[in-house]
Amino acid sequence: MNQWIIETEHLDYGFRKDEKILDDINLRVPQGSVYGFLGPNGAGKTTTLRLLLGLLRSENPNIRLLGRQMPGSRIDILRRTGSLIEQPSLYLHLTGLENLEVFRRAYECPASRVGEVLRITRLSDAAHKRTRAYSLGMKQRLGIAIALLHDPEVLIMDEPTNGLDPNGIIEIRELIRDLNRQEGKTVLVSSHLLTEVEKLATHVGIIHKGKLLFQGTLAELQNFQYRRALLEIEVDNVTRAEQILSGRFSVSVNGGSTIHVGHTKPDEAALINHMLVGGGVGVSRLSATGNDLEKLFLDIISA
Amino acid sequence: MNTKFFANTTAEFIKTKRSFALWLTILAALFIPAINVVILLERPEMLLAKFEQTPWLTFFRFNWKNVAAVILPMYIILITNLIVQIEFRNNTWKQVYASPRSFADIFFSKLVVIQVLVPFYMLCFDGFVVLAGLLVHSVNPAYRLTASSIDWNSLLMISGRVYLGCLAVSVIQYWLSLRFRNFVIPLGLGLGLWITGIVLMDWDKIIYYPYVYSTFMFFIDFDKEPQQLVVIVTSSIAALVLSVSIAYYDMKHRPERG
Ligand SMILES: Nc1ncnc2c1ncn2[C@@H]1O[C@H](COP(=O)(O)OP(=O)(O)O)[C@@H](O)[C@H]1O
Ligand SMILES: [Mg+2]
Repeated sequence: MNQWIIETEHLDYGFRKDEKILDDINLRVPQGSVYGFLGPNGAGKTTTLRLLLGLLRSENPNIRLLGRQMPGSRIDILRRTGSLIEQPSLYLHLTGLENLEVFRRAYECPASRVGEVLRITRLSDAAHKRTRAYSLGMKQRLGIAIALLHDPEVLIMDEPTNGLDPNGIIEIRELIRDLNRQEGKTVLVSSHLLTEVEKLATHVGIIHKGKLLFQGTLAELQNFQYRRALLEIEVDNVTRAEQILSGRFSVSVNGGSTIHVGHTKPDEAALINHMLVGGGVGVSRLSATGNDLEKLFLDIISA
Repeated sequence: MNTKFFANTTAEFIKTKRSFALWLTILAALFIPAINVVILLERPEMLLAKFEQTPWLTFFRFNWKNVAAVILPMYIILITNLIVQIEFRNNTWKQVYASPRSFADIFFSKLVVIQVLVPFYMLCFDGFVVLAGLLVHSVNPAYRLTASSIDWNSLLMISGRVYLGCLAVSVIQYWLSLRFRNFVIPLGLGLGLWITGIVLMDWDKIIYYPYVYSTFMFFIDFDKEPQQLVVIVTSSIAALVLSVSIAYYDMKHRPERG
């Protein structure tokens, strides 16, 4: 039995021949995780998710969901997977309830589920309104309600908070978190915003120009960050400071009185300061640069 | 599979709720009979003579000639477009294809909707024609369109033949509507293919051209040329089978869905 709920092996894809929109993507989404699939616009997130759901045809894509091959076991997989791809896809001339009724028939679930998912997404009061009159946040929630109809084990959501106001974003985030923690659903959610992923995900995959540049837990991403983090230090003697530190750290002189020192752990900043002061170098400023995730994200995708 | 297909077909009907489909059907069915009531009542001196022998059959043909050649092809082009555009307009194809339904289920459940609406349109039209005839008679009894003498057999015969003739076109138009997100393309292609048929009506190979079958079904006098009926019925059925097979194969093998 495989621990990965969603797994791709050397996944390549191009809309035309000799075009590589996706290049060797090896996705590993563990059971029970909220996997944040992060990447700037045009990175290939939607294309990947469409492949996972069988919305794009590919000869031998080596995609497994819930241990089954896509597209070979397409219907079995989709029976256990809920999805929300890009903007809401709702019948705007129908009410929320009618939209759910349409998909309830496709998922063959009992009529009682409709009321339940309306309650989960807090849309019971709006059930009889046409979805044309819904706010974007309500449309997105109804989209999630549709994805939840058949009580799937896996949820695949493509930028579910895109275009929402701050309140709407918080609502969707809390909904996803509850679904994961209380109902044990594995969630694969894409976003182009690191802050979103940081607040929600347990695991992160960073995709850029069709390549998966990082994959691991959120903690691993944060560790990764320190390895590449720099201290910017203002000293009165640059040459002496470089002599003292260069044995243990990577040091580069950056202008007349500042040096950049690479380090891996946050508590090393104290050690560096101690070494400098002990060696008779006056330290007038010591600050971290590039140790926030946002910068790291930019570093990763511009590497 | 069968109960599931049935459930999904009812879902396809839910999708047409509050759409223009029902109105289009009723208006298209009402159009010709309404005009003909006016014509018959305004021009009795020119028309009464024609209605002497077989009043109802004459009246049916008077109405059906426009429908078989013009209104029905137009209706089919518009209704297939409208039904399929419900998915494109709402960006719902991706949700449909991401639900656990076989491609056959998705393709045929919507085709069923169209194959219910087209006969429903004909039924409405036939109903309006009968009502129109009765109305004409009640204003001008000289037409002798009495309720007791309605020639149901002829009406059924005309409707059945024309329907058989238009089946392949309804599938081809369905396929074109599925293929193109931009609704102008299937609309333009449909009109072009239909007009081409009218222009090429005298061409000796025209029997291979499905867009003229419903016109032929109406205008050819099968009492005089019974062998032609066999040819056109066979062609209609062959074209239907062929167009369903090609359309389904093509849709199943599209690289992108939704
Ligand atoms: N249907 C399509 N046909 C051709 N190219 C496409 C299509 N969809 C997306 N692309 C291209 O694929 C790349 C990745 O797009 P996408 O997966 O939508 O990125 P993301 O969702 O990460 O913003 C982009 O360069 C985009 O232009
Ligand atoms: Mg996208």
